[in-house]
Parts: sequence; C-alpha cells; structure tokens
Amino acid sequence: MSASVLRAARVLVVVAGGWLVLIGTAGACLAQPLIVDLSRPRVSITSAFRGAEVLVFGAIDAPGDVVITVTGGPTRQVVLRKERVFGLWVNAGRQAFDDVPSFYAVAATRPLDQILPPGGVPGIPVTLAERLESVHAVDAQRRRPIDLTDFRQGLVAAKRREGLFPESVGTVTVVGSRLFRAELRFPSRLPVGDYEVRAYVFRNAQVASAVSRPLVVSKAGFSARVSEWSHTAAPVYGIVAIGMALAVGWVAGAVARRF
Amino acid sequence: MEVYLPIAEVSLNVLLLLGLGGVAGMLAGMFGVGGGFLLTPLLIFVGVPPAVAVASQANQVIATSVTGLLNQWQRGNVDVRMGLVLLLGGLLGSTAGIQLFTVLKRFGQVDFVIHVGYVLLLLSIGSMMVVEVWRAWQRRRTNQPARRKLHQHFLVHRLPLKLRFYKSRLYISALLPGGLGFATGVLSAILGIGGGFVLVPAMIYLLGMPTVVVVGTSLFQILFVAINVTFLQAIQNQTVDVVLALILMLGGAIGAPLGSRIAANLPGFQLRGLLALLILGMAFELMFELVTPPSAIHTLGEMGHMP
Repeated sequence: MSASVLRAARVLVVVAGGWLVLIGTAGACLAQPLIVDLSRPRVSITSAFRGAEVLVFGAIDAPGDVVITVTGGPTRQVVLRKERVFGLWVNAGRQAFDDVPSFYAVAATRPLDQILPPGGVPGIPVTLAERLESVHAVDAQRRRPIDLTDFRQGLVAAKRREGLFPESVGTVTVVGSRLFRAELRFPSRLPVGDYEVRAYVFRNAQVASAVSRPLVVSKAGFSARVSEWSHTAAPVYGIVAIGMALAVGWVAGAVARRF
Repeated sequence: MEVYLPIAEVSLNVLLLLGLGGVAGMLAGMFGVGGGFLLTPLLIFVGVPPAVAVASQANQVIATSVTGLLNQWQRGNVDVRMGLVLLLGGLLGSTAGIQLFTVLKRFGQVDFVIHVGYVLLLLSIGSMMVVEVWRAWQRRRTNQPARRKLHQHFLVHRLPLKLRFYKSRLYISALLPGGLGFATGVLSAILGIGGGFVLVPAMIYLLGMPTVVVVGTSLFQILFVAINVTFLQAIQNQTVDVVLALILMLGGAIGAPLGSRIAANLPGFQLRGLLALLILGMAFELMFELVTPPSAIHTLGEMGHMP
C-alpha cells in the first residue's frame, strides 16, 4: 500500500514540477529583451555563387540602439610583404597571425561612436579595431615591434581589398522602436566556415542584452562534391582529371580535323 | 557569366577563362610550348591562388598537348626516340629540382632568386633567338644559302651513348638531349612551369633539330610531364581545380588548331621570331614589375586553421 501511495506522490511532484518549468520559460519568453533570427541559417556556395545577402531581423523590448557584428571563424593568416632587395621589389617578408577572423562586418542603427562608450565595452569587441586586438603574431619575438605594426596594418588593408573587412558600417533599420532589420552583404570571395552573427542592444552606452546566432558558410551541390572528392579520394580525382583532359584533347583534335 | 571554382574558391567570368585557355592553346599549336609561362601569371592576376593556378594549368596542358600532338603525329613530325630521352632526363631533373628548391628555401630569399633567375633566363633565350632570326632573315633577303655543316665535330660529339634520331636526322650522344631534359626538369620544379619555352629553343639551337620536328617532339615530352605534375599535385596538395581546368581546356580546344594552322602557313624563321618576341615581352613585363614600386606592399598569403 505504502508503495502505491509513494508512486502517486512522485507522479504528482513530477507533473507539478513540469508545470512550474513551463510557466517559467513562458515568462522568460515574454520578458526576453532581444529576439534575433536570420532569413536563412546557411550561405550555400554553389557553382553560380556571386556573393550573398542575409537578412537579420528581430525585436527589442524597449527603445535602444542595435549593433550587429558578423564574424568568420578564427584563422591563421599569412601576410606577405614586398621589400626592395638590391633595388628590386620581391615578396621577401612573411608573417603569420593567429586569431584573425576570416570575415568581419558591423551594422548599427547610428554611428558607432554615438552608441559605444569611449574606449569600448570591456570584454566585448564590437568595432573591427576592437576585434583585432586579440590578433597576435606567430613567433612575434623574431621581429621588431615596428615591423609587426607594419605587417598588422598590411593585414587589415589586404583583407579590406578582398572585401572581407568591409570598411563601412552597415545600417540597422528600426521600425516602431521595437522591430529591427539589417541586410548583410557577403562578397563572392567568401571563405567557408562557421560564422557567428551577434546582436547587441545598447542603452546609455551600456550593453543591455546580447544574442548570438550561428551562420554556416559552406560549399553546396556540385562544388561541395568536387571539393570533398578531391580530398577523400585524391588519387581517383587525379586520374579522372587526367582522363578528362586526355578525352577533351582527343575530341578537340578530331573535331578540328573535320573542318 | 560567373562560375564558382570549387578548389580555387573564387568566382570568375567564364568568357575570361575561355579566352585565357584559347590563348594558351594557340601558343601550344604554334610553338609547341605549353603556354604555362604566360597562363600561370595571368590566372594569379585574376585571383586564382598560385598553387591552384600551377596545378590546374598543368591539367589543362594535358588536353592542349594531346590535340597538338595528334595533329603533329599525323604529319609524321614526332621524334618519339628523342622525346623519350628528353622525358627520362626531365623526370630525373624535376626530382633533383624539388631537392634544390628545399635547399634554396633554407637559405632564404628564394623569391628573389626565382624572380631574377626567371627574368635572366627569358631575356637570354629571347635575345639569342632574335639574333638568330635576324641572321636567317638577312640570309633570306640576300638569297644566300644557309651555311650547312652536316658534320660539325665538337667535343660533345665524342660523348658516349651515341644514338641515331632518324626523324631529327641527328646522330648524337643521348646524354645531350638527356641533359637538356634534366635542366628543363630542374627549372620546371623550381619555377613551376612546364619548360616548353626553354626546351623548344634549346632543341632548335643546341641540338640542331629541324623546326618541323621540334614542335611535335616537345609536345610529346610536355604531355607526360603534365600528366605527372597533375597527378602529384592532386594527391599531395589537392590543388587541381577540374572546373577551372575544363573551362581552360575548352578555350584551348578552339585555340590550338587555330595555332597549328597559323604555324603551317608561316616560314620557320618567322615563327621563331614571334616566339622570341613573346618571350622577350614576358621578360620585360616581369622586369617592369620588379623595378616599379608595387601598388600594394602587403598581400594575403595562405589562410589556415589555427593550431
């Protein structure tokens, strides 16, 4: 008898607990100060890829400034420097940097210096310069500090030219001081990897809330298969490449003789 | 119309790539050179990573050299024996060249050595050819018969391993073309080029082969070198972009027969003169690049995972 009573009591406790949790999450949902989503969770690089646009949209619970950052995965990036050797310009210097984001872009409702506190928010990099503070040179002790600064500036300039560190801050439009949206543009030369889209709400130069969403950039369809195949079955890939070339050359020769 | 190249990881215009392939094909058809010395820098210029440009271009060269080779074969312009000797030397040379490259790398300034070496090579080959073509043209104008010595007896003719090369009408030591193949192999390993533009003039001037046979025989050698390079690049570096190579090949399929047709209607010395101008032009362009201050001092190198 006592066993059945105990079981009944346990069931009751579990059910009651479940309700409590449910009510709790519902409350949290309603109270969530910032909700963000992307128009698509993935940027697919197909054979016809010419860059992409992703819409970031969401809602805030009270008026404030919205700042959105897009970061590509951290990479080790080599920078080459042309130097004069006996009067000739050749690539003589190379320096690797760690923790370089493969892509970095920012969008905001107003110019950043009006939103952010002077000197930035400690621990939360927002501008490109702040994000790049964690970038460090590999084997830094082998170079003079002035050289490292030069390479670092060169890295940013080169990334800019490729469109991977867009210089301009994108716009975030707010509708009715609750809903916001921003169009993110990605260039055609986009490195694959796991990206992160972060949205911050700023009030009085302080972060009121922050939400992060993953964005996967990957090759898709034919491109993905070719690229994967070149790695997983390299010898077969090589033989097929050779066979294809022989066949094309042969057919081209045969056709040319007809005319 | 843009197409995304899966290994190069860039989107490029199809028509531009077809055009580049067409030019390379024309060079192959006219002179029997692979066209890599022109195509590889152009591909890098339009944004293909250097490693992918070199490897995919080797893949493309297979197609153009097959087309050209079939054409020359039917006219009986291929000296297979000579081609095999060159090839053997070439394979040994490229292996030695890779070792040399590693040694140069250890001393640093490898980029300087390669650049300056390349320019000097192009300049000397180009100017030697111009001088020779000028003389041939003078002889032709004044209607002087060319000095023909069928039996020049240099020291090299005392070298052992003498072979008869019937098609080339030569009876020389196999060490000569073998050594030439070796030198070309070393160059191609260090400079990342097929070496056709070194081989073709050397076959004409050093070995004394008839111009007609040179193109076919050079294509024969280039075909096998290109197959070797494509396979090695595919298994070691995964840098062969089949999409890029296929587009270049299709362009080459149009350019190569056009090139051979032009070559068939031109006298030998004019053909050699054109090649000389092309090589010299390339040398001046590279020299210009070396002496003028670059627009951007810094460029991006490899990007990889953080350790």
